[in-house]
Amino acid sequence: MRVSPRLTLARRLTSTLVLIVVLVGATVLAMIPDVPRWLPLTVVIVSCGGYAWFAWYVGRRTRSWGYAERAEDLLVTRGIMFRRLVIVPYGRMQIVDLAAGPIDRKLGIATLQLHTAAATTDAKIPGLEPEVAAALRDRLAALGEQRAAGL
Amino acid sequence: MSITSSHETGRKYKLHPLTPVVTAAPVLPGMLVALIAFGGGGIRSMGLWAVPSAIGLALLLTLLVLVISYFSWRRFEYWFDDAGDFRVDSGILYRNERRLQLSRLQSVDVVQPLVARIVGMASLRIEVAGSGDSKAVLSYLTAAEADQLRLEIVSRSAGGRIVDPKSSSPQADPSESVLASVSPADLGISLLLRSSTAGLLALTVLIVGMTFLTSGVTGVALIPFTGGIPLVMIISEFAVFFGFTATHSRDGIRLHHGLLQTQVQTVPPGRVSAVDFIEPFLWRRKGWVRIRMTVAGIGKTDDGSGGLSQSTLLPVATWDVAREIFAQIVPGSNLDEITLTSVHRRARWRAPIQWSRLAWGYDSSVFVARRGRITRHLTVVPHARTQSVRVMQGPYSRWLDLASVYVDVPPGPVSVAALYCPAEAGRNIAQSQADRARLARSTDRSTHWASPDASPFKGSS
Repeated sequence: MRVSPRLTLARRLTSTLVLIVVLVGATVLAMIPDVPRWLPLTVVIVSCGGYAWFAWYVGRRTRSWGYAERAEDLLVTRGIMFRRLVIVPYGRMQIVDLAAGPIDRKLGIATLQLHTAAATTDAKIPGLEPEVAAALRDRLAALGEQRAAGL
Repeated sequence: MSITSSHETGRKYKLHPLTPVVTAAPVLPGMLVALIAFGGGGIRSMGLWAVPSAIGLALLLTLLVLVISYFSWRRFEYWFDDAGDFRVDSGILYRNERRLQLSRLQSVDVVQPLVARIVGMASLRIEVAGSGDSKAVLSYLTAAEADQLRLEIVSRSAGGRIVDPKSSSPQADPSESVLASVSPADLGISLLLRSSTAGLLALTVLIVGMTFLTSGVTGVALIPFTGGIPLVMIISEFAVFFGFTATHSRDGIRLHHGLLQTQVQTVPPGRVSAVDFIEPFLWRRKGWVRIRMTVAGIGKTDDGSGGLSQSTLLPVATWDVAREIFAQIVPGSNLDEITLTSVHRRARWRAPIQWSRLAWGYDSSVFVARRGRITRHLTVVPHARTQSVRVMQGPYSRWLDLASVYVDVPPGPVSVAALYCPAEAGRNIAQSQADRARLARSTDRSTHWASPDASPFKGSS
């Protein structure tokens, strides 16, 4: 299963906010008399370049997220440069978290996160539509309870 | 040794009445030393009055600790409740009611600090699985009481639930048998030869030599650090692991150690999530190995040597002894019979030093990963304790078509990873490991090893 393409939009919006803050900072910097001219200019060029690259990259990254509910475990894959695949057995799940920030809520997406007794598990699925996410959470919680294996 | 249950379910118990004295007693000498060390200048200004006033101050503070610990003793209660949990109520102003699920018990330690040891008292530390602060400390009980309570807690945790009688432990013998013991000489030498300490000490010698030759002062200021830190490390670890003895008992592996403060740690069967056999470079000629272990709930909070002493299964031993200990922890698995698969030659571009040591393997009950060239690591995780499996691949690894497989275990000193294996093999390992883990989970009964019939508390009063 893939995640919602709205995740791309959400990530772009967040990065736009960061860009605005940086640009405001650069403007303030340019108005301070003793600061050399090239410094705010470099900041602007680098941040705009970074923003353009990220805006393009985040689309690919969104498409790289994927998950599969299998008979006994949940599979989560992600990443372009740093690829990872996580297999979480239902019996090992201890907590299923569903979270959504303000931008995510506006756009109608949420992030599902699984926790096991191992802190390194790191299985999360961002960009799920709320109904899908809630249904998935309930299914996972039920499966987890059925197959609970403690530690 | 006959065991009788002295703790009734539902009845509340208090700690030993001498608790405040034992808690406060170490404060007095400590305060005096501190005052002498830091208040030396006061003698000049105060003259002869300095000595009695220092003693007075120390006495006052000791008294304060005594009073506080008296009130906390008054409000401290523990008991076994009807639901099978162990309960601890404590706190003077802020009340704390703790409920430990004994089915999640990970380890029980009897700790005797020096003063407590002199008067025959001990404190009991009970660890259950859980994030954050998931333990209860009962200080102080008489040593006999602590032992008794430990036995009772371990037994209740194992027999408190209905289990298949066939799954009970094959070793029903209550007598303890010694598995390993470490002589002080071996311990001292092994600590000296550890890569970090040996390296720093060698550096110290180098600096001293250089200073003599050039008769300059270059680096003299570093000597306290390069020489002092390893010295402190060696002495403190020597004190912690002095007289180390591992015994096998009915309720699990028991580790005894300590010079001034002694500790007896009991790890019930099936609680060890992963082990790491560590071979520092200079130990190899001796054929020595150290074993650290991950037990859920232990070692994640860095309470200094507490975490270290609780997560060390064996400070130093030969491989034969190490194997024997391992066989007790994971029955039915023989490390020598597991065939390890080495990584492909191209991994040397990713890990130029350790690539030839990188390998992984498995049998029906454990997954094994080897790494490290200078300090060798052999990490083992039972399938039944596997939490989740990850495959990671960075850009460089991808270019080389390599991937690393991580077998996740609860937080602790051990991380298990088959590093830089061929990508295709990595995916297969992850997939098959998930299957093996599931299979092992469904058949694993090691955590409830005592059947109700075998429980020594049944029908006793």
